[in-house]
Amino acid sequence: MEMPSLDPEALARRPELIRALRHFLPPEHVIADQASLRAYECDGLTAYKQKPMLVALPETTQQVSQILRVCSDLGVKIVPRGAGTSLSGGALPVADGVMIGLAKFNQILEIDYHNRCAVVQSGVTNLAISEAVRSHGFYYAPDPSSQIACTIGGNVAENSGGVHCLKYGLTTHNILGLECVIPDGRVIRLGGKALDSAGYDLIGVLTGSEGLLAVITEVTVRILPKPETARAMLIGFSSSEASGNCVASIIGAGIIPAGMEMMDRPAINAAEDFVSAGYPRESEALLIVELDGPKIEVDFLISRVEKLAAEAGADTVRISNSDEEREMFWKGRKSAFPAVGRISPDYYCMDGTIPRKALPRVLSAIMGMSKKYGLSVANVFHAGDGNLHPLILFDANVPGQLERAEDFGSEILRLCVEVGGVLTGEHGVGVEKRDLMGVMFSDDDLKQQQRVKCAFDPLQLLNPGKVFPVLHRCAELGRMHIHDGKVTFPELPRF
Amino acid sequence: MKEFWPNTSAEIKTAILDALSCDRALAVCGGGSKAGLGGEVNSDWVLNTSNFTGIVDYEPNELVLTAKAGTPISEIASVLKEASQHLSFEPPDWQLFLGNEGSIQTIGGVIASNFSGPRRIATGAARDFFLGLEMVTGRGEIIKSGGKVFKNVTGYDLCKLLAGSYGTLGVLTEVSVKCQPLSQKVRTVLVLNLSEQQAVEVMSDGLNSHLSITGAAHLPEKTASKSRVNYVGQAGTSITALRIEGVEVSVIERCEKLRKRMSAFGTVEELHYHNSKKLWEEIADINYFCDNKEPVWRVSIPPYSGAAFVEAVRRELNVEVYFDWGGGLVWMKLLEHKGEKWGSEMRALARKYSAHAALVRPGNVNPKRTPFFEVEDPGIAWLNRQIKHSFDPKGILNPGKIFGALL
Ligand SMILES: Cc1cc2nc3c(=O)[nH]c(=O)nc-3n(C[C@H](O)[C@H](O)[C@H](O)COP(=O)(O)OP(=O)(O)OC[C@H]3O[C@@H](n4cnc5c(N)ncnc54)[C@H](O)[C@@H]3O)c2cc1C
Repeated sequence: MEMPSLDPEALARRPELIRALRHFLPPEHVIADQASLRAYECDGLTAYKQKPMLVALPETTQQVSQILRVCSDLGVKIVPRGAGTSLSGGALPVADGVMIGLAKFNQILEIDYHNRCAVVQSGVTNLAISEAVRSHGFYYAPDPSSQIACTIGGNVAENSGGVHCLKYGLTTHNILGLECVIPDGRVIRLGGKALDSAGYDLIGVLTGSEGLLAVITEVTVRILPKPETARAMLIGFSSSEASGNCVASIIGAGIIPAGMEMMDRPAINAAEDFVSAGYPRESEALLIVELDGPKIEVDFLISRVEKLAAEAGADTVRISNSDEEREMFWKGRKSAFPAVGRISPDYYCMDGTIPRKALPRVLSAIMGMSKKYGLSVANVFHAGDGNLHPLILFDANVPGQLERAEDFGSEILRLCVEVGGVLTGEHGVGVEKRDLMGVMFSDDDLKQQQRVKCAFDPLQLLNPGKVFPVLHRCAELGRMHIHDGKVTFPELPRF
Repeated sequence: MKEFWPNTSAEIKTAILDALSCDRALAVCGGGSKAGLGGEVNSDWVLNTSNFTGIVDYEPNELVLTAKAGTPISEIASVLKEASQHLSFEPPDWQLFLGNEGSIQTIGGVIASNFSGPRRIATGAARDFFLGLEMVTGRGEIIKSGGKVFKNVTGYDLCKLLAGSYGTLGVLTEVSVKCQPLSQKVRTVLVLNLSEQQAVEVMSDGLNSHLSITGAAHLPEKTASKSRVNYVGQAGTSITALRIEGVEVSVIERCEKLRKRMSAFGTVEELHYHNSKKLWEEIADINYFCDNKEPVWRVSIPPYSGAAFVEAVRRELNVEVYFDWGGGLVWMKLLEHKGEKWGSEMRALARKYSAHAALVRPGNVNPKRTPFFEVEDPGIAWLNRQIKHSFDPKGILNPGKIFGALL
């Protein structure tokens, strides 16, 4: 993975930078010794490692602003980091840059039940928000599997999803306001407790911007009343086609479950070995369907789904009768990644999205690739919204396996695009899928995205080397080429 | 005067390159249903997207529809209805309100103005259902962003920037939107005779319950009297309306629970499917303020502050109002003209309540003095200019439409 070339000037300025930062940060919040820097060398995509030049741990928005000012004055790169759980290398440091860790932004500032929102600092974990409002019967809906650890700032940066986003939306649908600091150090407050604000939807473009546009310091999230009841079903099938058909018929019947997940046999067995959730080991595909809402509605819809499952040829159906049982059903799915981690020294998690109808084709092609690359694969799948997570099993200590896993992964993602889908559903482009962006976007598409980058960050100091395969200078991107006013379509009516 | 009626993206590109090389601005329009909304575009070159029609792709089981930007919303609605689906953000129809009867509302126009109806408080705005686009930028480049699937974080979400951009960043040529199943049953519980403050509290109570309310509006007596729904128009009191949708067994049970809960606050009535539909359409389409052309403000505000804000306005001005989004959207018609400086005073007052006020129908207010909306914060204004510049560096698309002199 090629990263932007090292800036010797920035490296030479390290001592000066440390002094400048310690001017307004307590000395222990400027991490400079090599041993401590190691803790920051990678995120959840551990194949890539790089120690940052320095780590700064601000506690206030003003400090973030000062750090960005110092860095932009000195032309030093900046990489924001929340909890470092990114699976695409979004929080991978650069050797000649400062990493800003948001861990100390851990305060819940306000909970406003009247307006159904909470104002929290960006380093608060996803789960902590739901915990803070639980006593009042509320929760924050997006629930990535990493929710104990990942931060809301990281969720906004990645536009993270979760198993319930089929019904309740992604991060972008659940954010009302942001406070952020743009690279020149200006603090910008966007939105708030009202639904609309004036001008372009800057919150919308910041969500999912992977730390390339601004450092997020505060987030106003929507909170929702917890559904009265939730029940889950485990539905086993003897083929993934049958389970795919079942998903289509549930949606076709006008039912939008709170969550609808699929696992294939290797994933089922890995999860079952790990947590004994009672998954049907003999099934080729397992659907977990959750319905939530008023009890009478849930019971009604459960019986409809049961019928649809039988029509689709389900082998086994189990329905949760208590919250403990429901949580048990989910436990296997939610720990699928660590479960697979136990059966293989390493695994590589992919994240493409496809139109649901393409599922049988894509799954059988993945099986073919598995043979071709000589690597096993376990599939977990947000079936309701077409988001695939093939987990490619490999051993990094065996020479060549990492490269093969990466090739396998990129072939899967290319196929996702080919069938009308996209490269990444929720994990982000980061460094991992950067060089595949051209599979989905033309040069012009990517240039316009980079112009948006330049709008926020004209010096291109924030999170460099991520998302964009080819770096253009902002001045070059801004230039306009008008072809001598030549009209290429003379048949166009003129008046 | 020059009019372009392009039939392909390439022709739009040509029109834009033409405008760039002749240093002319382009007024971008669709079916004209929102003519008069926003500032006047100072240009005699017009680009009309009305020839860009047709549904490109729709498979009900995928819950995604792709259409050319000029496709009439009515066509999309009827195709969706055949599959028992709809656009759940309830695109409102302002033709009557803006005096554009007989025009055509297009999907591109709905998206470009981020038009959303009462369900927004529960399930989101147009922007939340906008998955992908193809467009021609003010540079004359044909680009795409997003995709045809719901879960997608590949690259920046330019769709969000285009939703609500009013044709100032680019000309949309094709859009993909997420569709949702239609509810089997719709009912509305009415609570009679609440004050505005009580209504805000009651709506908050409803929205905070387990009852999955998908609409919460309050019509003060005078506004309610204009409703064509009998129960509402003839109630002779204010009306607070809470909508419940879903499968039959659930709607019946939740309505019963809601009625019980609400009877503590006042007399309770219930509307069934057709009357419900009619009422929420009136609310979305601002039907109550269609009888004349007085200035109308649309104020987006933290829902719980809606009534207090209106009370503060009333101390200074005679207004007629109603509330949607649980109090979070205030429609306000000015019944008197207190001079042009009132525009900035209204905005200052809105700011005090963390609200944002748009002058959606200027009436006799001079829109040059009081623009459609204002971006007050200098940092945000700078970012808006930067974004605009990145898509349309020469400012040829809809100049003056949304930011007044800013851009
Ligand atoms: C076991 C496991 C399960 C996961 N499950 C899911 C899942 O179900 N759904 C899902 O969507 N993701 C999932 N993820 C991915 C990951 O947890 C999410 O992307 C998460 O949002 C990252 O949050 P973080 O705080 O760890 O951010 P980091 O990893 O620290 O950073 C992620 C990106 O955001 C930027 N960033 C972080 N904080 C800020 C900030 N305050 N301002 C600006 N930029 C910032 C970083 O520069 C980086 O580009 C999973 C990861 C793991 C390890």
